[in-house]
Amino acid sequence: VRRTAEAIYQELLALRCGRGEKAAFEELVQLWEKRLLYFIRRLVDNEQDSWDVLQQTWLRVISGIGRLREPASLGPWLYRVARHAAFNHGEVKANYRRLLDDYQASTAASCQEIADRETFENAEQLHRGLVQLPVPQREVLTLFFLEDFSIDEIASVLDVPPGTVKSRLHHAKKALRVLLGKGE
Amino acid sequence: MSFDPTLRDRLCEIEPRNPLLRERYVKELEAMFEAKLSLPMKVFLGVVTVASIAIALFLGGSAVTHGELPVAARAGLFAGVVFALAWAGLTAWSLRRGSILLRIQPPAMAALLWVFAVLMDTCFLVLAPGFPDHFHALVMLFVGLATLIGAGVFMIGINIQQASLRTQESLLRLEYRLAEIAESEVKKP
Repeated sequence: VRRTAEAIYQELLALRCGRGEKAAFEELVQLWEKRLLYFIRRLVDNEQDSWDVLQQTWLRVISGIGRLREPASLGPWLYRVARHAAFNHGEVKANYRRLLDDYQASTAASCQEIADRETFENAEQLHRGLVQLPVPQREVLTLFFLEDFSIDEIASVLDVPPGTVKSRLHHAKKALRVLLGKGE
Repeated sequence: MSFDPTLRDRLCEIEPRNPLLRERYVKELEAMFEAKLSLPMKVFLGVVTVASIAIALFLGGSAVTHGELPVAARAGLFAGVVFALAWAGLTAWSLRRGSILLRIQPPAMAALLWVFAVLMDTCFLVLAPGFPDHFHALVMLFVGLATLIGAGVFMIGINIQQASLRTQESLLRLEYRLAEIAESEVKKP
């Protein structure tokens, strides 16, 4: 499979950061700051805490990027680091666990293949819809819209099996469609 | 439908960002690479700088005035002068900036210590056979050899790792350039 220039650039950036190049780290921050903040904001309630979590994320990235085994998987790794940083912040993890239990009880069965990306073109509507979803659905859908990740990559970020990602995506999209007045 | 990067950009733009919080974050991000020196730290580094210069003067003076010392011992003393001056240079640089460059100075200090340890052990190895006490000479030889072998293995490991990273980086740069050319060719009508 031929890789895109963007994917190669990301891998190169990870390598340069790993070698301690400050300019590479600045590029990394510039490239990823907005998306990581967007993702963190979907997990953390207030903005001030989100900035703190983002700063913690960069601290962990600085100390850990030299040990990143697969520089090609920089994107999923960054989201994984950001998610862990968010979960170590205040009550985020405890709240998430509680929400996850409620969520799992309400969506037990159905796991359908995510065959295609749907058209959600209105970003403002989508943003408002995401905010209203339960956190487990919100985070999977946020990753789905922010990045061109495979199901396996999303699973690696969320630390769940790929089947769970498919199931959550299915339910999340269904819920979002209802919220946006598009569906069933 | 394929992945739409513009949707990502639009979503990120919608996210409200408080400029004051962002400004604080940017400052803290910059501080990750540079640690500002507190007053006690400045005093400590000042003392270290003065002490390093004093040690350099003492060692240099000893090497010059004690003509009866063996050549290896005098070479060791001169190595000590170079080390002390280099150390004084690093600390004086930090004092002048008012901060420590976290990416540069601690590794430079570690490298300096490594070079100094290797030099000292080499001196011990050279001087050990001339010791009147054979037991201590033998201990010095073993300790010196063990340290030098350890330092050598460490250096080789670091060099192999760096060479591998550089090769990987060069190959990726090449692959990136080829991918760029290929993508621009596809875009051409």
